[in-house]
Amino acid sequence: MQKRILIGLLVFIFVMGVSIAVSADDVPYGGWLDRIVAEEEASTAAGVTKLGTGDLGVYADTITEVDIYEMILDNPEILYAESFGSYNELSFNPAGPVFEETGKLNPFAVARVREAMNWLIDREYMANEIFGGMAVPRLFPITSAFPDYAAMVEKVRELEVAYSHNPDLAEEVITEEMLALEAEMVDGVWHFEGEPVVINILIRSEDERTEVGDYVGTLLEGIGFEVERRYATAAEASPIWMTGNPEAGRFHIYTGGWITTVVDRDQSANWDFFYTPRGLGTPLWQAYEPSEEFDTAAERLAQRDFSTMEERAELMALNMELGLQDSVRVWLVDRLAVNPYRYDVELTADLAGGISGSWLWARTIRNVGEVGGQVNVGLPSVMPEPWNPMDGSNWVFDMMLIRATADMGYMWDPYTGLHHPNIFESAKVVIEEGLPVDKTLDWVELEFIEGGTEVPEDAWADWDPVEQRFITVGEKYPEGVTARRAVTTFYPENIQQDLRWHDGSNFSVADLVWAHIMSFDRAFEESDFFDEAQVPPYESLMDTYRGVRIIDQDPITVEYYSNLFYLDAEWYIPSLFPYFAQGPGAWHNMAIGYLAEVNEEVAASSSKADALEVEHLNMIGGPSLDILENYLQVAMDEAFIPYENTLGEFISEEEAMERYQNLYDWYQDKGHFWIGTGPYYLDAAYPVEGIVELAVNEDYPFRADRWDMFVEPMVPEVGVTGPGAVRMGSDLTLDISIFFDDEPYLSEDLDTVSVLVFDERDRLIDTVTAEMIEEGHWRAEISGEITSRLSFGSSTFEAVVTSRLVALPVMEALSIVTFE
Amino acid sequence: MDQQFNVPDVETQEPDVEREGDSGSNLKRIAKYFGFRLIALFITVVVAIYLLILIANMGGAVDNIRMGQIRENVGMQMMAMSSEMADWPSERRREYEEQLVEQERRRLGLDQPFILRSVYYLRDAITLDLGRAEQMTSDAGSRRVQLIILERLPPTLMLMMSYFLIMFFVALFGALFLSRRYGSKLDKLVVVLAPSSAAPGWFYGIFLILIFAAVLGWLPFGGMVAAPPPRETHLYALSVLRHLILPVTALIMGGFFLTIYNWRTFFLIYSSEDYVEMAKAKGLSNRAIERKYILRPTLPPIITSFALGMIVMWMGAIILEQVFNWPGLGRMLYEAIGLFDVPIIVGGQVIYAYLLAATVFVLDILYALLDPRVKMGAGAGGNKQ
Repeated sequence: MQKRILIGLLVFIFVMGVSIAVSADDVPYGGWLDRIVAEEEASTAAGVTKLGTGDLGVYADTITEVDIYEMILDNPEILYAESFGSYNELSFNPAGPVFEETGKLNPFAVARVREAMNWLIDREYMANEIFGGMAVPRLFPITSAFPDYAAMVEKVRELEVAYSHNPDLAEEVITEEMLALEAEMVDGVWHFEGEPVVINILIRSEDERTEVGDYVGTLLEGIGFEVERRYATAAEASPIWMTGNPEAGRFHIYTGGWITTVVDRDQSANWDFFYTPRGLGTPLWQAYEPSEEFDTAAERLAQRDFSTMEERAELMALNMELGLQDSVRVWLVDRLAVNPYRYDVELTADLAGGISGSWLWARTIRNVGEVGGQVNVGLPSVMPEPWNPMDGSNWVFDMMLIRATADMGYMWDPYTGLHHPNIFESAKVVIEEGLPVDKTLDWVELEFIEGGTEVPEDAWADWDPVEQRFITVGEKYPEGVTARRAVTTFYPENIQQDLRWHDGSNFSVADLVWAHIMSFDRAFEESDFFDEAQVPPYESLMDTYRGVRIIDQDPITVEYYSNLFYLDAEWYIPSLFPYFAQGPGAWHNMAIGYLAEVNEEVAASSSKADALEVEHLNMIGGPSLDILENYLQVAMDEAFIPYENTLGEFISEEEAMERYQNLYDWYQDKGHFWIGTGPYYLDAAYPVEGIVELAVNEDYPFRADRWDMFVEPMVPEVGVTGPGAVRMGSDLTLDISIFFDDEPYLSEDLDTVSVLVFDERDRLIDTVTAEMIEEGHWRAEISGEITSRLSFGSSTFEAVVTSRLVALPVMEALSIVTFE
Repeated sequence: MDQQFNVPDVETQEPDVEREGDSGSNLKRIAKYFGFRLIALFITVVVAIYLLILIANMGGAVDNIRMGQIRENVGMQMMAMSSEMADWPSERRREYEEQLVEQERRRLGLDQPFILRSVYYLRDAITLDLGRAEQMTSDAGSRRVQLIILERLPPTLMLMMSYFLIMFFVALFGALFLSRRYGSKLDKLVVVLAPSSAAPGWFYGIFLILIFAAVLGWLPFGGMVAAPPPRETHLYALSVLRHLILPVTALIMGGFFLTIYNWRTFFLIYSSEDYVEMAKAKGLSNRAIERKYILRPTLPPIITSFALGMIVMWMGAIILEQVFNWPGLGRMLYEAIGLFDVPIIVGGQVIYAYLLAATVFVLDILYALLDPRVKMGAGAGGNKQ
């Protein structure tokens, strides 16, 4: 009996042990899936239908068509993530008031007429009717889902109310200004010098902007203008609005559209870009004449001419007001896009770029509740251009796949735009005293120093393309130089052993140095690797770059000195990690591209390839592969160490040979030269068929659940309760509940909780900050003094909640009757 | 038919020496004829290509569009760089912007006048070099127009050949069959269904996808092969065949009944010729009548139709390839037109023009071989009577 018990006990222990072990192993290294198969599906309708039938797990397009959105809503098996990257506006031609070339009147030369257009149009109508609910009204050059909007939400709400739809006011202002322009109303039509005033609207014909243009035209006809609608595609419209002479009067209004593919935490330069001649050198921009006050305010904001965030907020508020008064652009809506996927798949989508613009999509994608398996991802286009890390394809859908194979030093928070360390561990940022820099996350240490940081003499300040070595700060700046921002980046111990390129080569400091050389060498005519296209980026870099120093090789520690700074200390930590503009690259796989280019058989950039009439370097297919294979052989024969004068210090001959051999084996196995360090590797590419296969990188040093906290955006669910009526002059208490998934939203994750008080005519009366009662429950005490300023009628109390976890502010309104 | 009843004239009685001279002069005449024909065709091709270059570039107006696009793209880049440019004075920004614009302008050759570039385009086209694309690249990443076209050719040929061969021979023999059963139920059914060809293949394609892919799930929605593609060659081929079923069916549905109706009417006309009636009266078998008395005289138009049909395949099926996500020349052309990528548009058409000219030339020869009534060169159709 005892024996049986003992055996039973042993079996139990064994089973438990195995199950615990299995449970620990449930989270794999790399990604959750074994395989991701990307296939081309150009039609959004077909893509969504395939999601319904299970042929696809994800359709990674940002869909804005209402009918497709309805298809998604109708199918319970299809879920979607929302994104807010694109926005629409009306661009006005400010030339005149009489066009030089035609002698015709341009009412929009007058700022007040343009301003009045804000009252004439009904943004709510556009968002709901023209865009079918897939848009939200927008008045400013900042996006309503981005941090600046949340930070400025009180001013935003005040101005949104002030510039809400008011056609009578619009007509009154326009009439006044038209009369001042010596126009006259004849039989209900405005005339100037005996002829009807005709407004030419240049209407984009590819999307809902057609209806927008028609709608604006109808409104203008309603107040006495003759309207000529000209429908044009992007290509047809560009020569008219972008490069055409505004004085030619070929358009008065253009239905514009813009896009941002990342959550931009600092949109303050947008007034300067969109409203002043400093924005662009094209004729339209050069015709802009902002008031002196606006011009100065826009420039100060863009150049960060402020020392505190409060001062910045004041400048933002001023620009918001002055921008609306100027209105060479009238902002209409932020487009809401949906990114569909099946209910049995989960992944992260970016608040701006959707799934295709997300860095974390591949790091989080999985079949719900499963480990391993495959997900088919539909993309509108696959591999339309060559892949090479420096100047290859920058198509958003190619980049989506490339990111799955790559790492960056840091990783983007898809909902706030903040950066988190990915490969490096932490950073110390030292900023010149007086600059408005702040930090949010703990991994970064922020310090300020009077007058900036002195750059060490032995830091690398520039490049000598002849001697192929870095020029030190001591050589370039004998008098010494300071930097407004000094960043020390700390990599974890053992990263050079733990992190491997997909071909099996170990990541090393040489990869960092190679990446840094690439920022310089191609911009010098004396270099064999010279590419004219690299001169402007190099010059731009040198405007602010002051030096780099690798102070330790194990663990890797890098110091970077620059005059370029960001408002968030966490942003763009310059770790030198080898992720280039268009993808990852190790020194050894890029070195064979280097050899091929200096021998003028391929070129990394399309402009150089066209100039030399050679192949644009493609590391995954086409004629480039044979060329690269030849140079791999050359590199192996010569144990080639590129830029030996510099890299010789970091690469031994044995290491070079080992890496080339790894790459050779990789090419024999996979048939391409694309390697990264990311959680998936490129297993096969079928360019003609439009199919890419990614397989999990089991050597990846991080587990698949590392970024799971970003699978779902934690948008606060806000409720407001209070009495149905309040006597003017008496105190009022409002209770605010803030939850997420039935759990209290922690106060440490909240930024602000406030209540905006609007009177019965929607004028902002005051703002009250709420206090936390307990986690998830907040209370706003509205004093009798505030309620005494309300009038008889229905007042609105709008709770505004901004979170540190999601940039999108949440507003919830409560109407309360106010009486005497 | 006249020459069949010609009475041999005196010249045919000339001694052998003289006949050899005649034969030499005939060869010379034929060579001269073909020479002139080739030159005429070549000039036609050159003129057509140059006109195409002018039209595709809108007489040079595409340059303005290009400049607009360049400015717009640079504008987006500048906007994205606003943080980096925060401290830059206006002049520095303008300089930077102009550098970017100038680079792209030069890349696209816009620093040279259009008229000069049009000559380069023509040279590249005539020599079949075809030059480099301005915007597009081949799927494998090359900008050489030749490679872009060659890469898309096999899928298009596979699709169109499958369709064309099935369609041509089924329609041809079906029509022959029907022409012998004029007025039968089957014949009437074909007549009734002929207007169904008013709708193009892609239209049927949408319904076929809905029924067989979306609802029944029997066949794929589109594409050329399953994703991921099978690694074994035979499985890959089977997968391609499976993906061919719907687009080929759609193409056939878009033209089958009208084609068979046309051919059947054509054969009916020939079937009622006197010599066919005579053959019937002589008691020849149906097969012999079809082969000798109907097919033989109709061979030139059949071959013409076949040959022209073959070269039309070169252009692919623009919309159908879009609907079925088929990576062929049609889609390539569609994308090139959207991007105003003139070298690709011209490249595709140049090859078509050459193929057309070559086909016309070969048909000239074939007509002479197949139809004794057709003569070439000087005096063609006017032999001494």
